[in-house]
Amino acid sequence: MIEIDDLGRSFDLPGRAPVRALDGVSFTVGRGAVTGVLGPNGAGKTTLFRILAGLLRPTSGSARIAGHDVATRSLEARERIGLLTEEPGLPDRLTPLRHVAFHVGLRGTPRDEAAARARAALEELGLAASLETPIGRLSKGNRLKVALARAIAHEPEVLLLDEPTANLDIETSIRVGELIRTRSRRGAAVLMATHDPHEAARLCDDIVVLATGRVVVRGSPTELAGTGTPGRSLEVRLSGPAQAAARGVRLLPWVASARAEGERLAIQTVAGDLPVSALADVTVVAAPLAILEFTPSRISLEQIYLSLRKDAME
Amino acid sequence: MRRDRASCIASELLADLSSRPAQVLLLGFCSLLYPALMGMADGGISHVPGLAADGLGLRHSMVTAMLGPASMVLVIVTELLFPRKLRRELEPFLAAPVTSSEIVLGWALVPAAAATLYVVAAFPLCELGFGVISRSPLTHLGADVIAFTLSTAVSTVWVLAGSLDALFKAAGPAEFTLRMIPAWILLLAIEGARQSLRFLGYPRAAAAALFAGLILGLCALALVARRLDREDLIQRI
Repeated sequence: MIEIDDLGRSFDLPGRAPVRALDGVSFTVGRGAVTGVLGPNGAGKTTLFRILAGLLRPTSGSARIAGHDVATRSLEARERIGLLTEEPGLPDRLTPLRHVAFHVGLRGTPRDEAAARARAALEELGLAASLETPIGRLSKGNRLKVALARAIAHEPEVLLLDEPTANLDIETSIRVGELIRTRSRRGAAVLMATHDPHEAARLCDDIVVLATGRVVVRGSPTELAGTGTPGRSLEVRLSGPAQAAARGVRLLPWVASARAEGERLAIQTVAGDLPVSALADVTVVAAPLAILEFTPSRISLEQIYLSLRKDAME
Repeated sequence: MRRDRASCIASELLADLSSRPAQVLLLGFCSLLYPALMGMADGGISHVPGLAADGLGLRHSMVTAMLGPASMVLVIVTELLFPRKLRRELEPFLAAPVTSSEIVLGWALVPAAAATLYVVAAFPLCELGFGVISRSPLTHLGADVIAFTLSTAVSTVWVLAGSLDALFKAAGPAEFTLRMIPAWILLLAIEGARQSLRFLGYPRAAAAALFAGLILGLCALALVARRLDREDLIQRI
């Protein structure tokens, strides 16, 4: 449904060398799949979304929405997308119903049907009581919901969501997640940008980590957590200050790094599996301190993301 | 039945405009002040031998007739559309399946409708002002209606082309103002050419100049639609 092939985009800045915002980005998003684009500010997420929405031209490579090239068949591609922009882009004086119905109407939908679809989308997002309230009087979260309703009201085949849960409370964030899942079950291809690894892991089937305009790694949340960067983190609580123990633990062959914080020891392992002797090794090295807690855990997606991002920057 | 996108865009712009009653009222009042004053000024000189007979009257002040529609167009573009660009509100709209021509046509329909209303309301006011001062009706009523309507159309089209071009390309209010200058110069050149031809004794050529101005203005508007670049609208801020 979304095919991105070696996509690149540079920006010319006066008096400076061109900035490469996207560089050789390639991936696909199939029908009914939710793909998250994970990356820090300036990674190229918004540029990617703008190219897919036909707002920017790529300087190299190509992107297709339902088989239509976004640069050469932009109108056909735009007919199939619903876009949530980074800035909600809402008129303060108009009502949510009027504004969303206008956007549905831009797809050629008759006025009454456009209003009915707009109402249904707004109600689905819990805005039934604010249909006729000027948008300028709505809270930040509700404004984002209006923007989201605008993106989904015409039931697009492809949803491009730039930070769909930014600034939302937990309850609304969960509701938005359900909405994304519902749309994907109905067959929509969803591409969402986020800089929150937890959100990406919660909502996405597939994650593309983007840093400085390049795809650093791609895979499912499980794949990324399991194979992207092998290793585990280990939390150990000792009966006294852990600095001396940290120095000893760093010498163990299965330890990649160890950091002392008060009585706690944060250990990063070299491999995905802990050696059977791990507890015994730490007990010996930490002596005469006693081990009060020993908690091994799988490296989180957040850690992988930070580590990959650091590698890409370097 | 499939809905026309240009009319959809125009109706949204109209809804936004009608949500600002104070500005609409002020704009209407200011716009209608021009023709009333214009009629009175023409009425004042109508008794001067030679001037009235020369057709100086209403048609001489036609440059004033252009100010009303010009200011209406400018208010719509600068108060409604340009702030949308500066607040980055246009991005979702530009990502909708609308062509550049539909965008320009949709945005032009409201000022065009406002200009039509202006002709309907302003001309009687102008005649009223003339009648009050001169105590006599206009002598070239038919020609004046045509001249008034054409002048309004020329003014609307040129200011619209200039302001939409400025809207697309300008990064801020100062650049917007600068980019409007060519449209104003061309508009004044058209009016200057028309008046010069009339005073030199070529009334038909003067009328032709006004027609030519309208055609050129429509061409300029089409060119603006053709040059519309979505990147400019979202990047140049």
